[in-house]
Amino acid sequence: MNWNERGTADSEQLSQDNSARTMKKLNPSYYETTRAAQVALHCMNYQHASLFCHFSYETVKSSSLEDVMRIHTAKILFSHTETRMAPQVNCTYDDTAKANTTDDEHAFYERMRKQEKLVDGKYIPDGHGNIPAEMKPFWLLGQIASSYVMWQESSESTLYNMQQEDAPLILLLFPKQRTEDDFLDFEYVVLLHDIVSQEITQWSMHIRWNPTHGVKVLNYAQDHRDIPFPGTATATMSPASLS
Amino acid sequence: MRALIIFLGFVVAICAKKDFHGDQVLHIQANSEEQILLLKELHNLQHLKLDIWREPLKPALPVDIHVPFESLQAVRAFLEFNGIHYSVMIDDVQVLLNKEKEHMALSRSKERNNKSYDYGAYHTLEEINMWMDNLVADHPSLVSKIQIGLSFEGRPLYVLKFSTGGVKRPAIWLDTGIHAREWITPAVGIWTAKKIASDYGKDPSLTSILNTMDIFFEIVTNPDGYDFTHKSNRMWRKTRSINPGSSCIGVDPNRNWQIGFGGPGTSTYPCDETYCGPFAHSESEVRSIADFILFHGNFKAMITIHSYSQMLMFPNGYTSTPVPNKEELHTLAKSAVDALASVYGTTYTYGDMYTTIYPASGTTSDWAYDNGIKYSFTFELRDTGHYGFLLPAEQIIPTAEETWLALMKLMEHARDNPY
Repeated sequence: MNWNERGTADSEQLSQDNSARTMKKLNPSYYETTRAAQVALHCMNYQHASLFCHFSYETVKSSSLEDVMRIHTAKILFSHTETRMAPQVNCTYDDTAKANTTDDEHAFYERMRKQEKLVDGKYIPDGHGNIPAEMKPFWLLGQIASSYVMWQESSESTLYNMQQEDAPLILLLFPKQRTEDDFLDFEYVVLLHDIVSQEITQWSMHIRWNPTHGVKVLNYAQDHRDIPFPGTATATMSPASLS
Repeated sequence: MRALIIFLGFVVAICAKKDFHGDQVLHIQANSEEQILLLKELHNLQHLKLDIWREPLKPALPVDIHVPFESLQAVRAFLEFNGIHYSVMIDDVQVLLNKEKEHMALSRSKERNNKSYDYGAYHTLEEINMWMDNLVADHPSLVSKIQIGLSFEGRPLYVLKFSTGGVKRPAIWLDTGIHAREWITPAVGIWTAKKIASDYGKDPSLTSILNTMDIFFEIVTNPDGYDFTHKSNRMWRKTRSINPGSSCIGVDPNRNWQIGFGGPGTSTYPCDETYCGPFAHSESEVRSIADFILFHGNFKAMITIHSYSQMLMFPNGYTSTPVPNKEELHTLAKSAVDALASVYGTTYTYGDMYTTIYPASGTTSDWAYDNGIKYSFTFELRDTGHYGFLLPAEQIIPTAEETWLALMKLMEHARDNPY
């Protein structure tokens, strides 16, 4: 799909026998287009986003930790074959807006490596949408990893029916840090919200990260534990001081 | 000195007291380490029942001690004997306590007229109910509070009525908080209600709207759900009604209306978030509004407010067939969305529900349209999923400010196009 903010968008579809290709015009205000763009976004976030540089397709009020990149073209191929595959995404993007965030990332990485005790966090954001400043990197890490899960769980059928996850996310995080070689390992439990079905599902994921290699989701699975999240919950992290 | 301490040691202790008449707080300035030591020893004399407000630490720092009436003479004698400077900071503790009680009662009454209400924060159901009463008290000739029914769990369903008179004038319906977890919506609703009350008589356009039309505003349309999100599950969406034969609770109030009931975009499974319910208007939260609007008979606009996605939609949701005045609604939506964007640059998509968000049957908006209310709109407020339902409180007022311009466009159109 060539995504053009003001114009129309095209998508390519692979038919089952891979022989015929049809171009379908999509109106950018239609939810189909939005969802296809969302899949591209998830892929890009996972593959290209660093901890402090995060893709979004609308202007976000920038904090010092986040930046906005414009998506210029993204080709999404949805396979119509029997076995469900994650949609292939080829992305090209404008590199010029990339902020100098590697310093922040390295500082955060070094700080975490020095932690002797395991870092344990809860409710990020909390019921009122608060994220304390020192917890923001963990949230961003979780967002990038969640992008991967949502990309994997998307299929073209999500464009037309209400089955799968393809939607923006809400996070409830339990990061646990275990240093291994020069990577940092975390275990997250996140809540993902599917716009179409309106369902909230809970996922646990094992994430590995360092500034040079970026984020990798080692494994993930749906998590059926009953973890209470009342509106009165506040963001917590221990050890309390991460400086 | 030691002799004096021993003497004080024989002062008779008084049992625990119930009032503080005659007690004093002494502000003591020690000028040497020796004097500090003395004060520490004084503190150790339990029977004096001294209540230390500021500990003896070092000569540069003052020491404040609440001394019971019975011990006053002994303590003052001790201080004077040892040349320790002091002054009486509080002459009579009980008098001060009485004043404080008065002050607290006063500030509670200040809360009773919304001067300290924080419009930039999320509030509990109790706080919102109090705020509503305050709003009516502050603007008695414009605002009244009506009860249109009871929730499943027996909570009153309150609607604020904004009216400058007349009898069943053409009316505008606004609701927020129908889905419990969409906290930004009642928060925006509260700011908006205050805006309406404050701007009447000041803003010419709003004033002219209220001079010919009434506004009915239900702030917490799903109070059971809202309370549940505070106390138990922040992500709850539906009502809290019991589903016979199922352990799952609640019905989606925005699928429960009598229009295409049970059609596309709904679920018949009670555990699902879009469960439409056993039959249309099964939910008292829905039935109360439907009955109220039909009985009134003169509603001209219906605006129901949700989050999130940043969309402004009109019917239909239950079918792809467009409504007769689709062009008019499309143009109106565009002007509303443009006005909204002019404040902070927030971009909304707009269009009919079926194609803009997804097919959804049994919605408030479709029902209203089907019952003759041709200016029927659904908002999905901020954001687009970055925070989702957990929108930070600092976005409440900006969201309300931008949404207000869109609401004005819709209400002005209803005013200018009577039918």
